[in-house]
Amino acid sequence: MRSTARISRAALLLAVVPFIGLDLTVAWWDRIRPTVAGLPFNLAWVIGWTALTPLCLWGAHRLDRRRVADPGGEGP
Amino acid sequence: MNAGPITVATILLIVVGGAAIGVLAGSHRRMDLEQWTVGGRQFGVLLVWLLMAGEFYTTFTFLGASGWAYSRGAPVYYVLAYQPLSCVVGYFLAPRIWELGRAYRAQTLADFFTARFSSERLGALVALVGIVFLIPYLELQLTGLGVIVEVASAHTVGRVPAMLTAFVLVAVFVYTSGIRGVAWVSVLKDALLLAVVIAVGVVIPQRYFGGIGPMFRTLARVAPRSLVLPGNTVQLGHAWFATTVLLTAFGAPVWPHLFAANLSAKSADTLRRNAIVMPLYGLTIPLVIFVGFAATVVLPGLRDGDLSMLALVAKTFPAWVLGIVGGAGALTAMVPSAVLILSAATLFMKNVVRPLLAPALDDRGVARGARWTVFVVTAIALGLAIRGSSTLVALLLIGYAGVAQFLPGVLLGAFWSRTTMRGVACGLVVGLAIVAGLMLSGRDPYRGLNAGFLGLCANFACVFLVSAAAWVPAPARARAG
Repeated sequence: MRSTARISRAALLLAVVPFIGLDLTVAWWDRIRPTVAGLPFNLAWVIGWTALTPLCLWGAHRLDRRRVADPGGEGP
Repeated sequence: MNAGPITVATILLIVVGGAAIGVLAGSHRRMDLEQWTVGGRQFGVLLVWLLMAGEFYTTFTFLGASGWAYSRGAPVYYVLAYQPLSCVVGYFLAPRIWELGRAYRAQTLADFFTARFSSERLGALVALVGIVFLIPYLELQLTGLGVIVEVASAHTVGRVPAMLTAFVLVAVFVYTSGIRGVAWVSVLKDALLLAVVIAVGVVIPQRYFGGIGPMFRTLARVAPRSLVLPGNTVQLGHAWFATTVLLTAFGAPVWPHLFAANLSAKSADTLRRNAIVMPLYGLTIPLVIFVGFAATVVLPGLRDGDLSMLALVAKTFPAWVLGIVGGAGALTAMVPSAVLILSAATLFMKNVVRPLLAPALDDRGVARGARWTVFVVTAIALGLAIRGSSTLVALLLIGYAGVAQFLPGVLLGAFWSRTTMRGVACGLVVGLAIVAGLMLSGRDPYRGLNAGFLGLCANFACVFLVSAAAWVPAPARARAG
C-alpha cells in the first residue's frame, strides 16, 4: 500500500534532534549547575526540550508539506 | 480538616458533572461499533487532542510525578523526557497507522494485527496480551482515585465507596457514549487539571520558600543528591534513564487505547498536527514535580510518597480548593479508565470471543456484547483494586514494558512489507518472556538497563530474523527448481 505522504530524510533528521537532546546526552546535562532561571540545569534542560520538540516537529511538517505540495498537493 | 462536607460536595459535583457530560456526548447518536469505538473516524484536531491528552495525563501525572519527585528525586525527569519523544514517534507512526487502519477498517490494535498479517489467531493473542496489561493499568487508576478521594475528603469518604461510585458512573458513560464521551469529559478534566496544577505548582513554592529559585537553592543545600541521577535511589542512573525514556517513548503509541485513538481522527494530517502541539501540554508536569520537591522539605517522612501532593495541598489551602483538587484528581482517573475499559471490552468481544468462540456473531452482536462487557471489565478491576494494591509507578512500568512489545509488529508491519506473522508472533513471545522473567525475579533494571528495553531489542531481532529467514530461501528455491 502506498502512503499519502512519505517521510522525507530531512524530516527524520529533524526528529532525531530531540532524541539527542533528551536521551543520548543525559550524562552530559545531568547536573545542578549552572542554574537556569532558578532551576537546576538538568530540569531546565528537559523543560527546554519539551518546548523545543514542537518546533522540530513543526519544521518536519513544513518540509513534508512542501514535498507533498509539489506533485499536486495532498487531498483534503 | 473540619470542612469535610464542603470538600466532599465539591468532589461529588465534579465527578457527577463529568459523567453527565459523558452521557450527553453520545446520547443523540446511534451507537454502532464504528461510532462507539472510533467515533466514526471523524474527530478533528481539537477532539483528537482532548482524547489523547485525556488518555496520556492520568493519575500518574497527578500522584505519581509528585510522588517520584518526593521519594526518588531526579529520576522523575524521565516523565518529562519521554512525553515529547513519544510525540515525535507518534508524528511519524500515527498517520501510517491511521492510513492502514482505515484501509483495514480496523477499530482495535488487534484488528490491525489480524488484517496486516492475515491471522485471527495473532489478533487474538495481541488482544489477550493487551487485556492483561490494560487491567493493571485500570486498577492503578482506580486505586489512585480511591486514594485521592479518601485523602481529599479527610477520610470522611472511604476508598471503596469512592471507587464504586466513580466507576459505576464511568461504566455508564462508556456504555452510552463510547469514545466520544471520553473526549468530551476530557474538556472538564483538562480545564480543572490545568487550573489546579498551575495554582498549586506556583503557590506552594512561593508560600514556603519565596519562589522556585529559592526552593531549589534550599534543596541543593539540604538534599543535593536528590537533584541529579540516580537521585535517592541506587539503580536509576544514566543508563536506566536513557533506556527507560526510549522504551516509554516508543511504547506509548502502541498501548491499545492510544492506538485506537489514532483511528478516530478524520485525516492523517490531523494526527501530525496533534503530535506537534501535544508536548506543550507536558509543560504543566514540572509544576507537579515542584510540589513533590517542596514536600520533601515541608513534609519530610511521609509513609507514602504518592500522597505528598495531596498532603501538602491539604496543609496549604482551604477546604474548597482541596475539593477541586480531589475532583480534578478523580476525573483524571476516570477519563483514562473510561477508554481503558472501552478498549479492553472491544478487544475481548471483537478479537477474542468472535474469532475463537462465536464466529457467527455479526457486528451488531459484537457491539452489544462489547457494551455489556464494559460492566464486566469494570467489576473485575474494582474487585482487584479493592482486594489489593501496590505502588503506582511499579505497575505502570510493568505495563509499559509489556505493552511496548507490540511495537515491532506495528512499526515493522507498517513500514516493512516483508514482516511476517511468524516473525511478529515469535518476537512478541520472546519479548514478553524476557520482560516477565527479569521483572518478576526483581532484576529490573538489569545491569542498569530497563528490562522492557532489553525485551524490545530481542523482540525486534526476532521479528527481523524470522521474517528475513522466511523471505531469503524463496529465490534460492526458485533457482533450485
